[in-house]
Amino acid sequence: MIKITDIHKAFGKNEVLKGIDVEVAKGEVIVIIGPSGSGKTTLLRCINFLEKADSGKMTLGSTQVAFKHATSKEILAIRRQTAMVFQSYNLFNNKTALENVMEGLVTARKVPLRQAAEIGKNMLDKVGLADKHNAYPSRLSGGQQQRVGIARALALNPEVILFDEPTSALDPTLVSEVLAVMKKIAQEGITMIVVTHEMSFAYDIANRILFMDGGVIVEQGTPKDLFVNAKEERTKQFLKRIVPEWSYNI
Amino acid sequence: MNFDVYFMLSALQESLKYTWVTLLLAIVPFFFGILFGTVIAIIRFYRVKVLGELLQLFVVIIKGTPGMVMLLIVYFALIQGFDTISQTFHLAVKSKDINLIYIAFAALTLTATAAISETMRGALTAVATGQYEASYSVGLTKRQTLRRIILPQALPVAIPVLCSNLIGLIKGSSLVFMISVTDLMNAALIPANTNYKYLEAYIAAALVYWVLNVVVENIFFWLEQHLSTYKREVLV
Ligand SMILES: Nc1ncnc2c1ncn2[C@@H]1O[C@H](COP(=O)(O)OP(=O)(O)OP(=O)(O)O)[C@@H](O)[C@H]1O
Ligand SMILES: [Mg+2]
Repeated sequence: MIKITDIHKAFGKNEVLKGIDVEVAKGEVIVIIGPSGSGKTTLLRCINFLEKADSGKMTLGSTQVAFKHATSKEILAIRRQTAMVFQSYNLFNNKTALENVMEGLVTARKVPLRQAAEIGKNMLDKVGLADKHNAYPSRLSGGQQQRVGIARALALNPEVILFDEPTSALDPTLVSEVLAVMKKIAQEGITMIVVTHEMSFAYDIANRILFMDGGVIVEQGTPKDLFVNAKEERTKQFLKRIVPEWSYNI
Repeated sequence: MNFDVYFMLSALQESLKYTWVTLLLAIVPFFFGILFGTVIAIIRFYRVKVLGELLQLFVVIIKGTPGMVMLLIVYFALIQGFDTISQTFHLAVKSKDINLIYIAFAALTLTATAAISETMRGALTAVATGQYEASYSVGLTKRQTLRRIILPQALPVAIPVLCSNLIGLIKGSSLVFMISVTDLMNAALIPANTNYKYLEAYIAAALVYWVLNVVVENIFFWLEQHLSTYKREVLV
């Protein structure tokens, strides 16, 4: 359903993505792990054109684009089939929780107000914010804001939702409420690409884990494959550093 | 020194009769200044090629021109330009038939546009990049992003500075006596020309300016509160 071929991206002389291929099937939950600076965020941002990749191609649903030559129409088409959940939430500050969720529906997709409101309310209820429809982001906790962010992405019913470290800006006590929501939607068959450092969560929800380092995918496989039987030395090193206990406990 | 309170009161009365001229001289340029200034700010903010640079030059030039000089340049340019045109086309209207207040509007609008474009540009930079990225990620176009997300957040940031801009315009409009437009200050001064009680006349004018400014400040304070309801209150 999503197929990315040979994506390259450099910032000046700093080559961040060095030819990555990713294929994601409908309903699949992909988790990307890897050390800081390995290009995980850049990959996600290139997928919805918040960053313009230098070369490579992508097929998403029925849309095919060459990253470098994508027209603004194609970019819009891609963006309207994807949604993103940001590390720093990025809720629209001037809009209430419900308006945040409705904005893409009403303004971008021209869904009638009443219908959009209904979808919006359902989504907020789903992420456990039934009592916060009319709260502005400034009145919400980080965990609540991020759940609005997830509801906003869900409401668009996109082909894929991209998550960039959705819990790493959160107070540790609030992480679990967001992870619980993500787990719930993963089980509903939403296609997700998740960048996270929450390893046990990754183990729990991923259909497939990609390990990125130095702008390439070093290794990929099921959580078991990767966490227990990693083949590449770089993967083993990384896992040992990030979760020493994994080496013995599984 | 004897201060003639009665004369001051009568000058005040004259001032009040012409306060609407001062208000008009401030509000019309303010309105167009917001309109043009916002457009200029957006074009410069998005670094539109060539146009952005030209506008930057325009703003720098206008900003560096004193209000009085601007008024007189516009005055002479329009008067001379107008007469040349009406001569070539053998028109009956002469420059002296133009209501001078239009010349004041033009000059003050130029000044206001340059100042307000800077106000708006500053306010635009105050909106975090994450707001753009979130907008694009839900499929908004650039224009929708600007209208629905960015400008509504930039405006409350701009309000206090816009208030200063408007007060600057109210005070700056007093220069129109240079081209013999009667505003509130000029109206107070006219009776003083016969008895030289200028101090009383100027104080009368100052009183009206003070009241106007207090009113404007209050309106903008209310606007600011009203437009930023989404922000968390800061406990002082
Ligand atoms: N806008 C940018 N301009 C220049 N360099 C950038 C930009 N964005 C990212 N980089 C560089 O690209 C590299 C990869 O960054 P990226 O954010 O994709 O890493 P990451 O894998 O997401 O890391 P982390 O786990 O810390 O979030 C880094 O070296 C970073 O400095
Ligand atoms: Mg990152």
